[in-house]
Amino acid sequence: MSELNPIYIFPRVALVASPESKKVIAYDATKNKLIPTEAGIAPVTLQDTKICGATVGVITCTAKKKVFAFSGIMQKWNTGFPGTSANGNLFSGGTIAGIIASNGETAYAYNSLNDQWIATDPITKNGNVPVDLNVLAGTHVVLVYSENYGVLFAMSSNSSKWERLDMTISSGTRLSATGCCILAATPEETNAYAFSTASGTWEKTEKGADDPAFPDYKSKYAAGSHVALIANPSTGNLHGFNAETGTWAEPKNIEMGKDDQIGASGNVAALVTDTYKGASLFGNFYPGYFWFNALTESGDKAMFGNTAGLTTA
Amino acid sequence: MSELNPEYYIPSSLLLAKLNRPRLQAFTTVPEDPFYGIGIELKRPYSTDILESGTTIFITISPDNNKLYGYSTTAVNWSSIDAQLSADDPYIVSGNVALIYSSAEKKVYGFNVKKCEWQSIENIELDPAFPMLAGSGAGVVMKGKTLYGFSPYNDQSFTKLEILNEINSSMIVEAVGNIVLVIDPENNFIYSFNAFNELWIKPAALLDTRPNYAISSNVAVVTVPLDNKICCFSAFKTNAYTISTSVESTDDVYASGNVAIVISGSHKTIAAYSADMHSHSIESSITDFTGLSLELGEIRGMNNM
Repeated sequence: MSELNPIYIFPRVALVASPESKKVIAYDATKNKLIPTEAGIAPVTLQDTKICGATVGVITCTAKKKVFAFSGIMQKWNTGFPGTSANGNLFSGGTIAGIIASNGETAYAYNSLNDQWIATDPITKNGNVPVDLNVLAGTHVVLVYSENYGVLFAMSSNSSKWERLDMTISSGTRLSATGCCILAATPEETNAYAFSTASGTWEKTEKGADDPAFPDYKSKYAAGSHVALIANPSTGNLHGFNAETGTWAEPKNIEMGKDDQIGASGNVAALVTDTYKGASLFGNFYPGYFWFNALTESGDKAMFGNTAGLTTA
Repeated sequence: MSELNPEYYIPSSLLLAKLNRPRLQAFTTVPEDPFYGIGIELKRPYSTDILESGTTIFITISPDNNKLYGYSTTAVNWSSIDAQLSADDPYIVSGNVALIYSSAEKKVYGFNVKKCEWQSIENIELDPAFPMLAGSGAGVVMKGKTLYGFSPYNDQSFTKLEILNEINSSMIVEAVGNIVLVIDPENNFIYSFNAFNELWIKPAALLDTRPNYAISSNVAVVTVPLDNKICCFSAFKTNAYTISTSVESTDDVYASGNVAIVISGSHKTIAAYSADMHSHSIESSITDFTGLSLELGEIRGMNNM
């Protein structure tokens, strides 16, 4: 469980911006250091915005047309990706933060673990179809996607590079970025995909028995910080992804029903069926994964742990 | 930072509650036996039982069976205790803290995650106006002149403290994350309890009637203008930390995660306190606070799909 060390969960950075004094100062609690940007390098205005995660902070500087980034891990400011526009929407997960450029065509991410800016390849615009980049950020992973162009970019603080996936995005698509794990599945594709800190690449589901088209509109999905689970009631196949190894498990075929419960949290994902008289659990345990069956009956209640208590502030 | 064991923050268990066979079964990814499943029998079906989940705990309050059940992912085990409970008895489950009050027994039960056992305080009649409070790792029970700090990680979960006055509405009582903060302006005391140390910290401070404070996961701060100081508390430390600096009651006080910031526009200083280092830094080079803004980190990306 090294990937979710609490140092990456609890925030340790803060940014103070003073437009009149033309200063931005970062504070990092791991070393108890106040670290200003170099004099005059960040003449922020009242319109500039900023955002912080656990170990990272970014701030726009419209006067310089740049986004400056601070890494609590590296104890330093980064003066921005060359050519980065300061116009756009900032985002942050735990360790990675960045900006979706206002033209919507490029996302710039700053990785606080190695002090690098990484830009997505610009999406080539097709006529008047707007590029509509959106972002989902987990503790260690970021997913940027365009619904109009069917393009997804994923990166983790380990991989530190964007991995592109072309996939139709529709109303039936499920996307998530949680902890160390990204899940992308859509009925229009014959595979679902996952990305993690361990893989650094998009990994497609293993083909299961009698599984010509997967997933479909009946599919159910769940993702925790270290696992993802997809259930396909049409074929009875369960697909589990272990984010710490970056691999999909061999699919498990079971009888499923319409009232099955699916869920995931942290290291555990499960489908509790009402027809199979069993619960199929999938769990991460480094360096492997495990399927497990537990006999259940209709009406049994499944409950996962939750992280709600951590977020109180 | 050994106190921040990842096992306390990453859910690794599933609870199955069996309706037709009165049984609770928990499954946990553990090194020795992946997806080890361990169950505990209930005397009767759980239709009236209350099931709650925290981060690494599952709690079942079973009034009909006069039982309390608790499962700890850390211990990979269940524990139960006889307790006279009613469906109306107050309880709180947050993170790894579970506190339940038995009005019939005049007892408060708390679940110890480390030892996987229920511990209790007796002869306590709670005042509904001052309920139990819980963060994710620390809680507090209040009655009269007595405070009980609660930690699920210490051998003895409840730690008693006698204070000068009875708990009243002029006091500030908060439990957030791994910290409990109690401010008593009338008697000029600040009390703090944290999840990782079995003691109350109680520095004296000449307090304003409405003290300025902030509290978050592992940090709490209180400004004390009359003493020209800021009192700081870390979830990992056994003493308070004092920043000697001029502050005003109108200053802005913030906290998030392991960081606390006090911005004093009148004194042109920004004081930053680290719960990790239990030390502070002062920024005084900013001369104009017009338009000054602060951004604190947030816990992001831990939530479930």
